[in-house]
Amino acid sequence: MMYAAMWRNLPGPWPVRLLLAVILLFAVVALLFIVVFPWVDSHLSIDESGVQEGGQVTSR
Amino acid sequence: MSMSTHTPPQRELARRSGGGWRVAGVAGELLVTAGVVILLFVAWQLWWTDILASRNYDDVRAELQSEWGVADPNATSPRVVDPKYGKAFGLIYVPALGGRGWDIPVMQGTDPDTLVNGVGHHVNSALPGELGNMAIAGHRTTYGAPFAEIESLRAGDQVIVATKFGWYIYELDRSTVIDFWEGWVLDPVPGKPRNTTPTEQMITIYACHPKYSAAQRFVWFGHLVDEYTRAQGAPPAISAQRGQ
Repeated sequence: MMYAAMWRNLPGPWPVRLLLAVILLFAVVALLFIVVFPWVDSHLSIDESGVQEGGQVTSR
Repeated sequence: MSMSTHTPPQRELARRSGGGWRVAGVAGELLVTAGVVILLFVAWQLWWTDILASRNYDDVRAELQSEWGVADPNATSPRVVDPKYGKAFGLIYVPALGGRGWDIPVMQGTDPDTLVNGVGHHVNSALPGELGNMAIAGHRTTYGAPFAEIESLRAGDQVIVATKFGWYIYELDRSTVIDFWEGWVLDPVPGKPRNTTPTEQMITIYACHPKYSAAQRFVWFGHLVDEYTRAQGAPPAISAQRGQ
């Protein structure tokens, strides 16, 4: 529904809409890969390396 | 996603039964989107961070290359490096780990931002050429995962660390699995009281364990068996690989 509404609101004939949709999708994925994921990763750190040194966390 | 698959009967249904269906439809699409984003995040971690790391490694290697320059012909015995935090001071080679564990920058420090450029040396642990234990952390997964196969190493396998002054060859003795708070593995003489005076040059390498988890650490201990100065040239294990 949400995506259908977006599709309806894209201008032009369907090939133009398709191209625009692909560009939008690419932009969103690029934003995720370059900005969002690195930020999330630095706050989440799934592969946290490091051990506690002398009872004090020097690294994660 | 359902961009063009919107069928008139659905729209008809939505109109007839009020906003409820519309809310449910949008909620469903949001859930599917969230699922796709999470899958993309996993792909980013396992695949994209490897690409980032290999680019970082190349940059750091080039930096080291220009820093080390040509071998100092007067260097007769290896000296100890003076690393800067967050900067590389060496390269590590673990032949038994294959390509992933070969020619990896050794960074000073083990914080996550440093570990994207190589493996990390614990700042309070010994340096190559010093008595005591040199502790090195590496990623098990993501960011190049230099220690991905740390569990497959065997006693007797070699770990070679190169610095500006030479090559230090360590041989692995034993491995263990610890919890992340077990800092004793970084001690000057691991397993002995912290104030024990070291009489040997040792190495600890470790990575997260189990793979894809950060619950524990897989640790290998080893000791120095040989060293080569720059004047002597690279040890056979490394020069043989270079010749290929």
